[in-house]
Amino acid sequence: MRLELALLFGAGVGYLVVLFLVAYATERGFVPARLARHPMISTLALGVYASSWSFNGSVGFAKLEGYRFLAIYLGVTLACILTPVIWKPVLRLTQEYQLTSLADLFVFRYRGRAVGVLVTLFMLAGSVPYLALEIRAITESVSVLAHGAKPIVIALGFCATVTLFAILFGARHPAQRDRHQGLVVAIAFESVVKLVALLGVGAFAVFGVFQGFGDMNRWALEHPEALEALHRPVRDAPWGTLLLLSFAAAFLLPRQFHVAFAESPGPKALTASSWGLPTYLLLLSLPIVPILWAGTLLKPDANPEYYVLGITLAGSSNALSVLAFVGGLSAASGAVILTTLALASMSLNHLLLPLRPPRQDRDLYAWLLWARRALIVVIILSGFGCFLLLDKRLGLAELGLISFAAVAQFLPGLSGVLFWPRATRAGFVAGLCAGIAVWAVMLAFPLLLPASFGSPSGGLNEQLQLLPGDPWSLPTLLSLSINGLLFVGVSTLWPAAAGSLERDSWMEGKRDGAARIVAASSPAEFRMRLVSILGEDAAEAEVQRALRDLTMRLDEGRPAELLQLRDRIERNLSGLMGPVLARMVVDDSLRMDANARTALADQLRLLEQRLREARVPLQGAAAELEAFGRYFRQILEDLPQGVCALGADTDVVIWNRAMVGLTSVNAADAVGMLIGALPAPWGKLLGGFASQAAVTGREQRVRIGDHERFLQLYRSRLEAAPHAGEHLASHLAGGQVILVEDLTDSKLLQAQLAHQDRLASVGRLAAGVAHEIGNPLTGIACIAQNLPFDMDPAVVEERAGLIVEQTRRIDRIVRSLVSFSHAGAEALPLQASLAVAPFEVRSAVEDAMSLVRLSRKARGVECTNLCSAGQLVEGDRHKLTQVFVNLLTNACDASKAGAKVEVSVRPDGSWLRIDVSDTGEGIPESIRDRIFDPFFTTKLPGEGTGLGLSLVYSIVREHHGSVEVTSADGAGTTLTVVLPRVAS
Amino acid sequence: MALPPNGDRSRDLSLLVFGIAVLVFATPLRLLWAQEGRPWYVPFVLWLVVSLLAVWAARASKAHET
Repeated sequence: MRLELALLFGAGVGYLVVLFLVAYATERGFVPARLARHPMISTLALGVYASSWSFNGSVGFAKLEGYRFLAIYLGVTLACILTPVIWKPVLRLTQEYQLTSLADLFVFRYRGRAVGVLVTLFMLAGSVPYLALEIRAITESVSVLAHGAKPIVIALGFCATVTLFAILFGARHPAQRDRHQGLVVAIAFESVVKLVALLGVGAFAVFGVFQGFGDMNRWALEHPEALEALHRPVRDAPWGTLLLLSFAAAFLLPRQFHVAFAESPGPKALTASSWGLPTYLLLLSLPIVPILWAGTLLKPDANPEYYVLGITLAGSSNALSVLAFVGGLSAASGAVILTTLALASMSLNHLLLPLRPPRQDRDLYAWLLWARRALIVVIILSGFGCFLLLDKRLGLAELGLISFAAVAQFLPGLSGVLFWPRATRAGFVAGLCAGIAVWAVMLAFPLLLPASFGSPSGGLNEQLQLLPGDPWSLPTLLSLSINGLLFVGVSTLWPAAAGSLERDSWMEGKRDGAARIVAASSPAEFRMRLVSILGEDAAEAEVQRALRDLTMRLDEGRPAELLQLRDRIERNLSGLMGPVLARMVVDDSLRMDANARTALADQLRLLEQRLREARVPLQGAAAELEAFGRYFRQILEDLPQGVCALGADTDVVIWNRAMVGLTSVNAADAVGMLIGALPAPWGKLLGGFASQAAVTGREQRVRIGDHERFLQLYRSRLEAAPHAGEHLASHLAGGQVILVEDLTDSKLLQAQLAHQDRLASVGRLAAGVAHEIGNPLTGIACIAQNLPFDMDPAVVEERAGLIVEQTRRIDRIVRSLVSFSHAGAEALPLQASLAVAPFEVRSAVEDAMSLVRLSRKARGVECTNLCSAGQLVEGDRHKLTQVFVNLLTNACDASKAGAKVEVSVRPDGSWLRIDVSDTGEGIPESIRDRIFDPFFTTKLPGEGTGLGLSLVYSIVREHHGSVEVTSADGAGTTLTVVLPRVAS
Repeated sequence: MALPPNGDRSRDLSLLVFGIAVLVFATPLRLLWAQEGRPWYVPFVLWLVVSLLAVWAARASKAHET
């Protein structure tokens, strides 16, 4: 019984319409996103592995090779079990670097346009026969079920339909990086349809042809040769080769790679697939044996490869036959669509774009989209052409295994991606070319030979009779062995040169880029440079996209961030036009600054980022070292002084919390920036300080808003540690650390103390001042009283002159007191700076003595200024006068009435030593170390504040000088102030 | 001694299950289930066991993660 062609045609069209609707509904959101993105959908989509030759060809293969047909599925099971070892690392790479095909992956790893071209061409050569196989399966399925079908018409109709589907749901977006959820759900739907169809036919075989499992088992016992036909090939024939071929095909076939990696929602989907796909294939292969035996029993006039369809014709209902046909259609269409999409992506990135790069006067995205669609049409037409040319004697399984042997040649290269960083491009290319050559001679070219040359799949194997009955083992083992040997041998004997991009980009940790600086200085400049290649719209879109991905601002200017932006743009372009062209575009338009030295901040930040994101946390000594590193880093972070470490390029490497508080510049903004580019006033201040060669410490006054702050800057140069490696030494040498101490509060306190000390001094002088002023006032009163009675103008003039002279005397006393008490008052609250100018020591000492003499106590002591003229120091005259006042006051307080206090000065090289000597009782040794401590005094309460000598000490230190004490019990004390001398 | 990080554990488990699967299907041990007279469903049962081991490995890795 045959079916009507119209029924088959209607069923086929109806099924494909349903497929379109499923994809459309998903794209439009009618299918809930939770369901669409469920890991099981991805697992079912991977069931596209089971194409026509699984659906139809497995039974034929089982007829010839027994249980060896299971190897085609068991190899996939073995591959799925190794998901954490193989699939997940590949997924990480493809997602991180937006690699959308196997060719992209190999180009990313081995670099070079030739790699992409070679992989793409070989993949096309190995996959086009597979497309032909699928087309042939459809035409032959129709022929089995119905009469009158013209194979070419069926083939063309099938090709047109899958082309339309592939374009509508697989090439909707210009960027291959964008996922096609509708396509994935549709392919998952197809997997369910073919499983249901095959299980349905299997159920018919068990319950329709046999009378249940018991009857079938009884038949098997009665026909032991049928069971033995399944088992013997497993015992006698090579089994490992088929396992190896299907193991490789599980993730290297273009359609498998596309679903598993390019369209993957994430690692959870792969985890589910690690057991889900083997389970699916188990269910799919369960009906094969019952169908085979049912076919053997019924002996339909169908090729065993089409028993799935043939035995259904023995049933009373057409529904099962239609279901079986639809199952076959879904198996074929899924494989064709996905294989075509994957090949189109590879061809676009590695063949078409390098030959015809996009031009800036074209809409880049539209160009890419239509180019991909055109390639889809070309590839499917190639499959159709191959279908017309292929020898019909070849079984479906044979054709499929030839494709499997082709993709297995990528196994050595993939091992270099995942496990062997020293594999080189030369090794990969040499091995692959040798493997392709053996494959072509032994498997591919015989396809084109006429029938007179014997079995096309036998080839050299049959000539040599090495492995009779197994046409795949010898070609597979030979090609892979030579491939592997050359891969390892060439990589080992000709390693990649040190400093080459290939070596540095892979062995140094996948192109960390920390040692490079981009020539462009802003994202706007990035856009401007990309316009010449991508065009205005695409350049703007790609820069904006990268900025969004990195949550970066448009005004970003730090070298490390710009480098990250460059890398991001390259990755995004890789998803658009493949890694080869993406690299070309970025290398051409966003060049690196060849003269820039390494940016240490970048390295540190990238290192910290890698440690945070490390997939395998550090262990043992490395973990402890990292913990110590963090500890020391935390010490710097918590220091109360500002710490700013600079790299050799003066880029900020460390910017601790105190610096943030001092400058209001966040660490995230400062780190990576060149020191001179920091916001005002810090860029000029710190950058200027960093660039001065000889200065190691400096006090700076900085205005911030309405306030002024006093900062002490220190600087230390960094030299590389003796044991640092050459690479590290070159990064560390030339850096420096700047320590910033905020003296504002202590300056304020000092100013307050100085003012209080002055006021205290003024207080001490008050009684003496009152007496000194009282004398001339009394004189003025006396003269004024008698003035009205003096008639002689000469006498009046003389008396007036005396009055003026006395008032001048009072004026001098008052002025000096006011001047002394006010000196430094303008320093409050914050301007406690030095009014630096050269002045003569002798005159300052004289001013101090005249003030001290006002004091009652001092009047009993003879103060003598023995300082020679012409001895100059540079400093704040008022403050140093206060120093001398304090020293003279102490000296007078320590002296008895009638004693002498002398002040002398003597040069000592570049210093001046000013001695204030008294002949008092001396300072006991037990307290000599404490006399400069604040609030330390031996006087009674109310007689001294204990701040005088402390202030002396701090003022002298401010002037870069020192104070020495020489004292002996009972022999007096000499306090020596040592100040830098100024040449007169 | 601390447990190895999760990435190592899932790899270890997968290698363990892989080893068992290779032992059953790829070594001469396959002659046991391919012996003459064995029921036809034996390889499928073994395959199911291996799939269940794969489920166990996936869940054990996920449990260790959480």
